[in-house]
Amino acid sequence: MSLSKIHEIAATLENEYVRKWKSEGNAVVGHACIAMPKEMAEAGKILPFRLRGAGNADTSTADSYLSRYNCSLCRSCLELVLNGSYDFLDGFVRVRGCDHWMGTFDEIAHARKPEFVHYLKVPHLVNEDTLEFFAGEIKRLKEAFEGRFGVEISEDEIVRYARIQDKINEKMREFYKLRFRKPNFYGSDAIAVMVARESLPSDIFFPLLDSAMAEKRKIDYRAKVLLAGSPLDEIELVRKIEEMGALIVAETTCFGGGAFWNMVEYDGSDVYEFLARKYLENLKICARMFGEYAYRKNFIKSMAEEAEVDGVILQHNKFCDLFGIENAKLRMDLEKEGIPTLVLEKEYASTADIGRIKTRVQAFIERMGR
Amino acid sequence: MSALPGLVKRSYEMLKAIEGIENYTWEEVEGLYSIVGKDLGQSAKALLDERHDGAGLHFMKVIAKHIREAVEAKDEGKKVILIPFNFPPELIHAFENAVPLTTEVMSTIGVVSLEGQGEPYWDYAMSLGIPDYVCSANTIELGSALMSVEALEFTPDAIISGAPGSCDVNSKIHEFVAEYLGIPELTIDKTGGGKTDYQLYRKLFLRMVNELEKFVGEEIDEDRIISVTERANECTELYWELHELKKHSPCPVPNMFTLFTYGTRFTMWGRDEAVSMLEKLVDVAEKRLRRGEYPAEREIARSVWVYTGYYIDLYDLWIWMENNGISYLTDGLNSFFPNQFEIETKEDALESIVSSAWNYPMTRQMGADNMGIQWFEDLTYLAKDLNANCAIYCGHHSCKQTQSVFRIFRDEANKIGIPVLRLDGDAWNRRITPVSVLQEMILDFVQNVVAKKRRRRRR
Ligand code: SF4
Ligand code: SF4
Repeated sequence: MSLSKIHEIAATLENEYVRKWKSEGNAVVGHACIAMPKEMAEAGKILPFRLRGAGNADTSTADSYLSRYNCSLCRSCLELVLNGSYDFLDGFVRVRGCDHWMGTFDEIAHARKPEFVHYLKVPHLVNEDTLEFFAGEIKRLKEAFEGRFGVEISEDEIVRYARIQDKINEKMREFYKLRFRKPNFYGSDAIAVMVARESLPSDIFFPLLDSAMAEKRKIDYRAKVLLAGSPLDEIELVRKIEEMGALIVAETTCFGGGAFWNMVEYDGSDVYEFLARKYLENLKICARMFGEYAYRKNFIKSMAEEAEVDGVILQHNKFCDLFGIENAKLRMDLEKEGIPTLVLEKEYASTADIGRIKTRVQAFIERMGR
Repeated sequence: MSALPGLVKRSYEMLKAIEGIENYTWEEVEGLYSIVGKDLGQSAKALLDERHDGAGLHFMKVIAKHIREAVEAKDEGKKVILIPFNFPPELIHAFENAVPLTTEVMSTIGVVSLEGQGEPYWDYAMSLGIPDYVCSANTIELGSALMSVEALEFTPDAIISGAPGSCDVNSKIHEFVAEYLGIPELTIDKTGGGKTDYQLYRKLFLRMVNELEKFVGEEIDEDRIISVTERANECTELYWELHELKKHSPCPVPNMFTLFTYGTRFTMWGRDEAVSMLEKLVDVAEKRLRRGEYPAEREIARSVWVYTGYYIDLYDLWIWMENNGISYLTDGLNSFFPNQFEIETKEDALESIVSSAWNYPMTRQMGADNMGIQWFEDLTYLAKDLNANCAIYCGHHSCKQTQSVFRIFRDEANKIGIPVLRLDGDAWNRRITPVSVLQEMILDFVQNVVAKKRRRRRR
């Protein structure tokens, strides 16, 4: 029941809980990256809603703003903003992710002139200077929220929500472990869970996840696979891959384990310093962070081992510079360590790609000896 | 895979010969064309064109020296630091025991001076699984650097990455090479265009200087860095003199002088070689102004290229435009907005270098709070200052940031009456769009949009 609710939420943009949240006079802001400090927003009764393409493959209007050399996930999201599907948002936080996202937010500002667009600057390195800077940025975001939405965000309230996030992260880790050894869920379920988490207030999401975890399924598969690479919210695509027999039992992407697996818990320190550490250090899972390649490789390797997978799929959208280049290096290194690896370049939500992807997955399953 | 030597090795051999040339006649250039083949021949014809009055040869010698110093540094026990174009080479010149080698300049040298252009090196990178939408500006040279594992190319000792915050693909391909070759990478980061961003950038830059000192095994000497930054001040003065000369119509500064300027900026700034190069450019332009020289009957278009130019055929693009009355006044890569600095101490000198790096093209625009607006403001400032009547975007296919905000640039430029042509090609890779198509589009734009607008204004 809860699992199907989660799938339903993942399939819509403005879900029933968002509508209720708004009817209570609360705000919703759109963002596109896991560097967004969720507890800070929620402490001000502002729901951070992560932009996604929701399977939309039509980018005809967006293409006249962005170019065909830009990532199709970004173009898809821009299209949804331009056609009004995201009109329920009260503004945007332009979280510094990759170049494509930066251009997307600039075009949103240019074309739609939203009343609230705040730039959250996220460094590409982790050291004491960048952590100090990022703590300042988080404070600036708090002030921007307070100024724009007329709310007061207290440190106590941030801590309260940080503890809730800790609990959710813990639960998510438990949920992932239910997929590792003897899998009880499909990868498409896991992606739907992640998408729902990014679209709901945390006090709604937590009980939903808890009861969904009780709905263990009987799963058929030929091979167990870990999914890595660029952000992937395409539930339908995962379903198609799984229909071939390649069960996704773990993800290190930022719409997967990358968003919570390594996240530290609140330790009683200064709230802003803590949030800076929590989010910037966790971001090392993303190819946008420099000097952290070994960290990412080891993250994939250790999760692959723990989940006892037969192979790894490294996917990225065409024109994704960060993961396109990173995946080339990861393939070399993982293969060297005896982990069968498939690099999959695709267009977001493209039905035209499905046939090709299925053939490649089938060949991969055979290569893994399954 | 290929047994062809790397780009640096080949360019070194080729340019060594050029360093010995003193004088030449046009007949000799034509003769050279028939010997060296089309790829190098077109570049030789463009660089050695009479209108440049020897400035092209001078430029080749500057670049030859840049490469020679890097290749020969190893024998002298010095470290070779591979730097990206958006990083001030004067910092490396301040070291006694380190020399810079600039990635994008090397790619350009490969494209303009080697038979087969940069294609073998691009293909090598692709053969390793790197996707084909990465930036040719860096991937050609870095593809060649990857060949050093097969002893086909010379290996740099360390890599500086200066693009995080302004260009993902540039930063990422540098990281790939550092990981692949197992050499250290030193990275800076630009988070935006405000005061706190500058403070962070400065801290990271100085942190990197510190790491570099440790790596090279030498603390930068105060006298040496002061002398380097004083030379940089002289270069800045000459840069602005040349900029002033470009305001005349018809433009007395040949199209290719913009390329010579930034080629010098990216390699030898802060050195006597750069000062003499820029003196030569100013001198030639002043003479042309006095003599009223311009290769076409009329200057029809005064264009600002808002990002890069094309390097795939210097003669049939840069020279061809000028012969058709299309002046290439400046471009995005030349938008340094350099300043002169009061330098008395090592700290002053370092501060001046940090500030120059912060203001570098691309870092300045694409690392701003709003890429589209900063890009528009900078380039239209230059367009207005130089009385340009049009803007051209090369549509470099890898430039995801410029591509993504081009619409903002064009809409804003149109509001202030500057027509913009958007081309679609790869500045360093001729396989994407043929030169003839680019020529056709440029001519069409100039004749049907720019010239008509001029006529309307005159009526
Ligand atoms: S891929 Fe990286 S930059 Fe992009 S949304 Fe995920 S974490 Fe953020
Ligand atoms: S800004 Fe554009 S041309 Fe420059 S390195 Fe990046 S992608 Fe290449």
